[in-house]
Amino acid sequence: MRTSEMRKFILKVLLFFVVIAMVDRGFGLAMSNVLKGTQKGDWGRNNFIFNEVKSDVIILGSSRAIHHYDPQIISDSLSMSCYNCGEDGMGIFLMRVRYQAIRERFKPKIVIYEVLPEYDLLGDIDNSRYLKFLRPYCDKSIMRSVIDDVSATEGIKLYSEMYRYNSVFVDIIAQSVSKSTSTAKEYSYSPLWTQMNNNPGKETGLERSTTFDSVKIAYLEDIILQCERDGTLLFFTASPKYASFSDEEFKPLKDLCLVYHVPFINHYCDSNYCGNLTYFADASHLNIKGAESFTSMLASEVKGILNSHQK
Amino acid sequence: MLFNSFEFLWLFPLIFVFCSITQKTKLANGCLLLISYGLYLKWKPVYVLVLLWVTAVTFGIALFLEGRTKWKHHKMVFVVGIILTLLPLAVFKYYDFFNVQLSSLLLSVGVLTGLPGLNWALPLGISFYTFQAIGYLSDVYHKRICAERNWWDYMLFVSFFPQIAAGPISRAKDLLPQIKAERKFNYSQAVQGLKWLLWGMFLKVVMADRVGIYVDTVFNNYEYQTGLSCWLGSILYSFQIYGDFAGYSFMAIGVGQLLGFELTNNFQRPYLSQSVTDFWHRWHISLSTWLRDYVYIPLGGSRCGKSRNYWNIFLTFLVSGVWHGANWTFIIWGMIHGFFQIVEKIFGWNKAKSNGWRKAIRVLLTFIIVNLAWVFFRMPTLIQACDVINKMFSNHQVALATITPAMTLFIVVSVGIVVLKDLSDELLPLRYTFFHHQYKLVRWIAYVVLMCMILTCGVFDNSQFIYANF
Repeated sequence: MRTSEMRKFILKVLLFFVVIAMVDRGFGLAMSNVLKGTQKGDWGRNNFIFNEVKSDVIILGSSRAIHHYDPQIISDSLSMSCYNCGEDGMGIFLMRVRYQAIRERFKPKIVIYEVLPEYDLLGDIDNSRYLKFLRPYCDKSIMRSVIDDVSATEGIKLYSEMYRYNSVFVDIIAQSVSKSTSTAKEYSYSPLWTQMNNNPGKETGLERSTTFDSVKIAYLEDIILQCERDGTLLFFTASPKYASFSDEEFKPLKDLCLVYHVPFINHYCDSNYCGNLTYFADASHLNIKGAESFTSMLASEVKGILNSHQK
Repeated sequence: MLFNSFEFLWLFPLIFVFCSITQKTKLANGCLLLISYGLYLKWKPVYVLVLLWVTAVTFGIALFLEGRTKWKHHKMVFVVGIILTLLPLAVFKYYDFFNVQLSSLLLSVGVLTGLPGLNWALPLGISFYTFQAIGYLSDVYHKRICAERNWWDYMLFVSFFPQIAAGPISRAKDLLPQIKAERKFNYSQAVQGLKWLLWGMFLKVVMADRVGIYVDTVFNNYEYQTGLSCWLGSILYSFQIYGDFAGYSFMAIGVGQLLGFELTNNFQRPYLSQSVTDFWHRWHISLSTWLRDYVYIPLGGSRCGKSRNYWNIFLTFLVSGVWHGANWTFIIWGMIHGFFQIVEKIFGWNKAKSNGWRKAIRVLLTFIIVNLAWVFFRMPTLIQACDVINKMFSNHQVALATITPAMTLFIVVSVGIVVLKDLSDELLPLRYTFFHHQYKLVRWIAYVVLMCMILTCGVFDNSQFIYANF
């Protein structure tokens, strides 16, 4: 009696998981088709970066890249095509994959990497939050290696196709049917139009982790080596932050730059910007006025370094 | 072990299979004890000493008391036992709070004290297992049960892994006999256990954690929020804490049932209560009955004068507030609940039940009171809690904290499902019970939809359960 009940229970549990596995597979197939056809919004842009971007200058980084670097100004100044691959709330884990995907089909001449310590250098409680744009593509080997480095259990969770689209499936579907006329190619710069009106005080950095993440630093080093192999000029940059007064958190990056002779254009605590409300939309982001001024200055600095290289 | 962790996914089936196939209760109990202590050791090895201390003190003193009921120091030994059991809780949870209060009090009269702060992490589930062990000791003292003579069974009673982190607080008379009894695999109990597990998981990862993202956005930056945003944040926090805590309790009950145990149900649709008194019959039931039996009744309960009875209610909920945390915010939260129960008792609203629109109004009013009290529970300081409440009533700007459309959809759908389920269980218990529907197909569709929602909409960041911090 007990054994037969147990057998019945286990069989039903297995049947439940078979049904879930079938629904899971169907959902995964449907979503992967929807994703492939998505050309608008963040996911259309993600597809575009992974599959199509062929620009001489590539900008990588977090929201501070996508909001601070106007590709048109850089393009005009350097007479080269430019595309901004920055992404809100993302850091080195996504950027390494994006850069790798681009260089597999095209070798850019210049890479500008906007470094933010929180996302690119410092330790985090849970790095899996950086995998949002990678999970749906996890079958590709370049994605998989990053996913495995970020979390040992993530690879097992990704056997579920529903999990790959966890939290993002609504955005993907919405963007796939979006009537918006702007294409992913045009969506390369997203200036902030507002101006900050309150002073948040000096940033202490106390709320952040104080330990560096060895995987993040190894990935930055990896990008340096790849650029070196491809003959791509790499610039690490740090744009101004409203209340920053110390750039100590960049130490491992500075060390890397010294070892590999990579230029680090550091305006993190630039007094021409920091503390000036008219240049900022919030404590972490320049507004359009600040972004255009900063991009112009950066473009001329990059141009100066390029000229000195050519001499 | 957190039920929403990856570890649970692979470890629990192994525990289930072993406990189900083993013919010997002792062997199954040994396995459960090993797992319970192993998981506790894994979290912070040194804190297992605290768990052992509470277990050993209550086990030893209960045995000592049982043989000496007529001894003149009988009561004193019991009180000493309670103090010794509460000692780790006092040190880990309340020392810093009292130290800060005392220092600031003395400083205000010009005395500078140099007592060091401890800043130690709180042992996982200390408030829960301490209360469970005290309940056992008190039951032995009052001769409601016999003292347990098997050390290993008692160890399992205090450390049983499904409930150690956040309850339910079990009674010795309920759990110890189940530990000792031969547990046979029961198909319907196991199926019911899986249903609890599934529903608890949905409450936690789909509703509570999703809603929590909005709540954190509002309350972590409340200075920049409008009154409307604070209202929405507080309402969603009510759902977050319900989903988080009820989710844990349901999963604990589910895991217990799969292993052959019946744990106390902790929640009975609390937000459909008609009074604050009724709320405490439906929210954290194991704590409220514990407080009733071991605090309220020993104080005299209602078998005394009216004013003394009101004082007993107030004191009981003061203890409830202090139990939740060493902070004035929790004390005020407990006092609010105590105050409203006294008011209800004075006007006789605590027992009266209404129907129709009167019931709807009473449910709404109770929800508003409970909701406002949760603000004190959520905010880190009293000043911040008062600021938020002030904003809720004085700031009339019509703007909400921005979240993505997808996030809005997840919140609306998950909260909607929970509200509809609780409403249908309360008002039409036999008509819309998808989990217990007469047609198998309907039941299976409900299971599969819920599981798919967990996989596609759940938050899987191993987030901590709110009550595990108590």
